[in-house]
Amino acid sequence: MLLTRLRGAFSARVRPQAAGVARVAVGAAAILKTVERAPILERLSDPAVLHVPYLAGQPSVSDVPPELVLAAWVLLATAFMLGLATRLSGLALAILLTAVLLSDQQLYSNHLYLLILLVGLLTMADSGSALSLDAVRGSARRVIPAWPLTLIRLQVSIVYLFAGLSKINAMYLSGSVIAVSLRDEGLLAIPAEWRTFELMAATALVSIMVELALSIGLWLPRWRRTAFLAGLGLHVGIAVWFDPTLPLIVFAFIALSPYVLFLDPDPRRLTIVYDDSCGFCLHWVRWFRRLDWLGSLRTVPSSDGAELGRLGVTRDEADRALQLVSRDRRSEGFRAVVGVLETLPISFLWAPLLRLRPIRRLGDSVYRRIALRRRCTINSFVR
Amino acid sequence: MMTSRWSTRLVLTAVLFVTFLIAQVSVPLRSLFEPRPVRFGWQMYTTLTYAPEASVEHADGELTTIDVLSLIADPRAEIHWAEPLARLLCEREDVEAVVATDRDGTRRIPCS
Repeated sequence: MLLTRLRGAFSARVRPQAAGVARVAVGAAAILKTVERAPILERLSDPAVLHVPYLAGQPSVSDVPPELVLAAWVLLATAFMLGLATRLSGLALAILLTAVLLSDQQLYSNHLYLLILLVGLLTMADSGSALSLDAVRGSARRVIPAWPLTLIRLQVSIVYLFAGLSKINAMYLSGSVIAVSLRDEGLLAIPAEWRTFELMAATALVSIMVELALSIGLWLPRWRRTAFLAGLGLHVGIAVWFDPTLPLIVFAFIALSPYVLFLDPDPRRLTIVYDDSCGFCLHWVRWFRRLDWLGSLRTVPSSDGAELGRLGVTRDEADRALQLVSRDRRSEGFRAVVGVLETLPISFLWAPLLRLRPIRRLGDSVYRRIALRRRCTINSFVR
Repeated sequence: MMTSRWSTRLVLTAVLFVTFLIAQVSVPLRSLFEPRPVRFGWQMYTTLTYAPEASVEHADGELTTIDVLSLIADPRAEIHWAEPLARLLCEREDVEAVVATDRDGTRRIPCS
């Protein structure tokens, strides 16, 4: 029984859209990473600078002019992001990044290490099958192996788990690491008076709890939305309030890229019912369809009486406000819009914020006013 | 599509999957029991770290402080800096020993 389930797990296939989105984001992060690593590569090309190889006499990328290394890096990362010869560009990029990582101990970076793992696993997953030039040229596959994507999700959990556990030490829990790492200058600098023991220690404890919670929360459907927000808040917060800025912005990109793989992959699991006699409504539904890169949404016009009946939605309800129907619940109006935004790759991380009570109330009110006052024109039909 | 048996490809997939997981869990797990920070352990901002320092000792016993940051590319805290710095600084004239401070503490390394 167990062997059968394992066999099923290892041979399972999924639609490639989420992997395609992750690939684009990881590719973009890889391009950004060159900006951050370039100064170190350039320093290492200076013969007067100390080299610290892992093994005496080992080859190093610093034996090659840094401009060539960086150019190859940018080219391969761009090809990977665009999904051009994805398997080849992904493999070559992973090899190049590994060579950089292992060339010199000074080139080590946890962010670069994670990037290599993501590029490698996305290459193995055939992520060039969607949202790619390869797909446009006809080499798309309808389904791809699921196991590399499972490994990516597990890797994300492993990173948060050990990032959290390794912070459980007296030094970190005292808050001194955070106090020293916070931004000192500029608009977002944290004043010295705020760096009290109590506040810093509390922040340290919260950061550990958030990381440990993320390692599990991303897997639980009930907690996933909260986990998305927590992850976004954690990485944006670090990039905004900590020094140095650029590496932390790049790390935010790298860390958040695979989050899309935690979205429910079930295709067409949500149905939008909209007023198809209204041009205003059609305009928004068209945008939702365009941004539905994962293919999570099914759209049903309010004129389709049979389908409305199956969904348990009346014509009046459909004409009054956008309806969002899922397996176990229905929402309308602003809440339906939020539900849609939570499935779209460009908004799923921050959309749960719109469920906060004050924002939700405002959203409900604005939606009702717009729905009442909308001028719907479609062809010659005017409401 | 599910296969009905364990093909060679499926077995290799399973082996790769399990090996990857074992490596990705065991290495950072072991690192938890070593002084921070450790490479490949996902130990980011886990402890206070300091840039390495070094001085050279001349034949007359005088010490000259070295601007270490001008000699290195990135002062990573995982690196045991004392010996590589000593090797570099001992190449200079009139250097009898190097006094270096890194994650292991302060050591005096004579130039042989």
